[in-house]
Amino acid sequence: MKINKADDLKKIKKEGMKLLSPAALRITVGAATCGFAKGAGKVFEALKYEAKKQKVKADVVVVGCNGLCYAEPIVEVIRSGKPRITYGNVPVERVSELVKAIKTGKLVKDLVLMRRDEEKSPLEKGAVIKYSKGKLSRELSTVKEYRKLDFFKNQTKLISSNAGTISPERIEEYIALGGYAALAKILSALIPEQVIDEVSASRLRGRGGAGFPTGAKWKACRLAEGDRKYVVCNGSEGDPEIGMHRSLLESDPHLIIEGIIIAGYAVGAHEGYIYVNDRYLLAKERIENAIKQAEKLGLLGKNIMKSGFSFSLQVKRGGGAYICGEETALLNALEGSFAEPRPRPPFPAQKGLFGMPTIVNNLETLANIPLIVLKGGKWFSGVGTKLSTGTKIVALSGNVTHPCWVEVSLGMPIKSIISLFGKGGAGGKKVKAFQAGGPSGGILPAKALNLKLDYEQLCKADSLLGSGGLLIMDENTDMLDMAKFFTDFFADESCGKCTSCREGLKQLQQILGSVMEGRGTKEHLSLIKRMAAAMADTSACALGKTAAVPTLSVMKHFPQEIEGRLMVKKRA
Amino acid sequence: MTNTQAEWQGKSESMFERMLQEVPEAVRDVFRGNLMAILKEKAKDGSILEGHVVEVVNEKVPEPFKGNILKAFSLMGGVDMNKVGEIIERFPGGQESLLSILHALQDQFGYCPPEALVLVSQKKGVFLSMLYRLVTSYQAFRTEPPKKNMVTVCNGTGCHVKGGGAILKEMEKRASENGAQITLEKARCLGCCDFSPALIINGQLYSGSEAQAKISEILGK
Amino acid sequence: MVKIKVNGKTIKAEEGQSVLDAAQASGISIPTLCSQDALKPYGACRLCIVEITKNGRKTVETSCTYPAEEGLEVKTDTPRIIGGRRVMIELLLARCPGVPSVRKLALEYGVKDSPTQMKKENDECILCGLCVRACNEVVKAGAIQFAKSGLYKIVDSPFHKTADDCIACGSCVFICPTGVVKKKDEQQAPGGPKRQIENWQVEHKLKECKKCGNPFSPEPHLEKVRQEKNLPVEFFNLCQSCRQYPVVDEDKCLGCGGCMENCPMGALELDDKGGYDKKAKVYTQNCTACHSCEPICPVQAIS
Repeated sequence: MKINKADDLKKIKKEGMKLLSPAALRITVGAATCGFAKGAGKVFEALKYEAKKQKVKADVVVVGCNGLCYAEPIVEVIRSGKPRITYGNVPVERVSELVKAIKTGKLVKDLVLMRRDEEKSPLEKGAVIKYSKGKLSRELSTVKEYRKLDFFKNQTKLISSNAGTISPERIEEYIALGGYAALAKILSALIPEQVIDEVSASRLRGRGGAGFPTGAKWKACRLAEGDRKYVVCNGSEGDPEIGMHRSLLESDPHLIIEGIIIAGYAVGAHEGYIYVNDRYLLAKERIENAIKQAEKLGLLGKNIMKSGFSFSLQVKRGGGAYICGEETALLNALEGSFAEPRPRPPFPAQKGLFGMPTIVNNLETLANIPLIVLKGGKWFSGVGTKLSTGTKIVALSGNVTHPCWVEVSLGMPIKSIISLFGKGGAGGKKVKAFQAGGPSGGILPAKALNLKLDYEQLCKADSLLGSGGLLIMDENTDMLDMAKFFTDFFADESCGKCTSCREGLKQLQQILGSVMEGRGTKEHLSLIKRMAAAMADTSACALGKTAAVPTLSVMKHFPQEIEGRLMVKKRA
Repeated sequence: MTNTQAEWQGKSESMFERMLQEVPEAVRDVFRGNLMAILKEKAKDGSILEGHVVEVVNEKVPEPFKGNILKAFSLMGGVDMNKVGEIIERFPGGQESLLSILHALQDQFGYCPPEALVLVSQKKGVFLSMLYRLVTSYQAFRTEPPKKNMVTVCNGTGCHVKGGGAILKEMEKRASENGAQITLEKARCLGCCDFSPALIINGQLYSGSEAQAKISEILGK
Repeated sequence: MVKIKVNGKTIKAEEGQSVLDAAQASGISIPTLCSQDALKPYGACRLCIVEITKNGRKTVETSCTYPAEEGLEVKTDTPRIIGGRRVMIELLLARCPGVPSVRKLALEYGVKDSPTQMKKENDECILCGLCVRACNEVVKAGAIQFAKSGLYKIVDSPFHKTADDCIACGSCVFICPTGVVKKKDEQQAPGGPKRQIENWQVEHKLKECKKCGNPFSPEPHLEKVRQEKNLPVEFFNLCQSCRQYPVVDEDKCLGCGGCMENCPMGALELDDKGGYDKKAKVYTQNCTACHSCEPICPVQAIS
């Protein structure tokens, strides 16, 4: 069937609800890449097998990632009238025991993490699904309700609210929780300029790095002249410590699709591309399947919902170059050319893909669009801070007790993020330093932990919000080693065009190597400073411009770790 | 349970066995029976061809197992130029189809064979020198067949901070030894921060510490 | 036309012309190693950097890639710019200490040598890309390209083997600013005169003129031009000096236009000499000396 009007959406919504809150039993397994790495795939197969063997009638389905990476494999049980129970760290060997418990309505106490009494969606007021009906049994009331856990209580789940709940392979479940309602709204009630106005009113900023106002970018593209226009979704996610694009694509692919179609409508584009990191095979498969499903329902393709607006979407696998996170290098890759940034001006909004006006938006930026359309730009601008509106997905990793990913309102103090979600330094060790926003963000000392996570504060501290990665380093971390690590990273990923970046990184690497081997001198350090200034000025793109930042930040914040290793000149 | 009463052509039987290795042992026989039935249906009255096994993998096996299996298959053979032609046909268009074609070649053969690139150059009207630039500048592509052992070390910051640097150094040393049968790759993030420092040896995920103990055993040295 | 200010002086520029070209046309010099009039700008050497102020915002840009717009303010020699250029020169000296064009720039900018703390190499290629761009954009042979990336970037032939698409025209040799791309023409070789471009492992025979016997151009180069311009097979049997342009004897010429209609290059026109008198005139810039006109003339006015 094809969805031609909002009422048709309601029909599908009902079907989706029946799956999310079934009359019988639903058992879900958190199966994104991180889950699979810990055996979720085997758990899933074992659950299906045991359910059949023990004659338990259940819909066993894969869902995405809810951010609790440290507790995977995660299995959730939803039965009519009872709260949704979440089990964590479920080993394959105990699946048959778990199924037996499910069959008899019991809990496997030592594996229980939390319960969920009702499902709320940021798109609607009140509960969308009431799992628990009637009074709770004594046993169940001892299980913590998830909103009481630090991990969920302190998050503002707007774009990640479906992740871990819906199956990424079932469009009905996405629709059940409000999916494609935004698309229906704009196609029937808003003209493109109004959509751009809402996005501008939201003050949404690009979630990739620069934080450029999304509304302004779209407006420029709308006004640009060209035979055809394009929307490009940047899912290259090159930073060496995060997997958030991957998690979103694997958990809630339709959210991205909807955001892209709305963007196309707004700027006047009818073709879109999603550029996916070359290693993200599962994410690519899920988004491609989601596209097929959307096409089948008439939500993508020709004459969407009989509105006259057509939009087609393709997924392209990247070539493994970090530099393709830079929008013009990404456009080159899409055109089948080598990964090097293009000189600007002209900007992609005027001359982008195949020389046509193009908007290149980060995947996370686009994920915010359906919400902004449904609840309004003004509402969105009330989340976060005045200049940094909305939320950010943060990937917490490194020497932290619980590596995970969370969605928080912009403006949350970094210290709180680490303590509430990461539960402090791993092994009780003190946090010595952290890095925000990826390698270009530089390394900041523990006293900067009071900084708030937003564009302004991090920029003032010579760091950046960037991709939302937050790397924690403990007291045993060698700062010089970290400076070398990030310099090596940039050296591996530099495209090599600019003298400043290519030769500058070559020299930085060898100087840091000399210092590490005890042959460093004060002259080496002043040379670094001089080169860094030239690299920042003369390089063509952000990689070259910030290539020396890791080293400079360590020299500034941890001078003793470098100066203390310099060669001591013997007095004659 | 064996695969008797079936005619296997070429490497198809070993490919089938390799595919089954991705299934948990407990349910392996069940899968073997089901998949054999599908293969027999595809083969009709003839032999089960290598292509049939690949079809079953593409149709029935979800990611990430599918990718692992196909990669393993690609390490079992030489360059079939008919296959190259099919791949080129699958991606119409001009220069914009190149990255997709290179990925497909890499998935099929484990690397991008020079003879395949010559054919791509002819059919797509793109200079061979440009194709050479693409395969040597994008990290996803190899220009030589991978060696017997594939090792991917996570070079993500999370893993580095937990000792990944030492693991990488050791693997680099082993890979550069004379006669080492190791193709070493660095990944930007394997997505298993709980296992850090993480590495994948021949398709199996290991945590650094347990891998160090097993490395000699796994690599046969 | 647009007006931009360079170092306080207002100059004219064509819309979209690069700031570098506009400045140089007005006699303001900006150093560059990777720019060339016949090629699209690339922006590799980073020497042509300038400070650009647009709408009150100041940024540092390469002038070869930045298009001139009305109201731009450009500063070519501020301390920040000079400092940046000096570092570029030092980095290039560290990489290519023996390259004369880099040494010359170093002298101009008061850079004695690359700092002792820099690792020294002995490369001769500055990765300006001029050879690659000439081969791909102008000659359109596509024989060479950049390969690998980042710190390992080089210019190479496919698979580091003989560049099969190379026509040995020598454009790469001509345009190379360091002299690392070299050709060797051997007049007396056992198999006949040949040209070698060792960088791309290429060797091709030089065509010998049927009239004077001198070798003049590589055979594949001539063949490529012949095919592209649809010239007869024997066209390049004669070298440029021996190939004679037709001369019209105006006393004999009837002005019938038969030669003009038959000319494949449109190099013959009928010139109005007043009254009814028209005479055939040869435009040598279009003429390829194919001599198709000679036999056509009914009165043998062309020789």
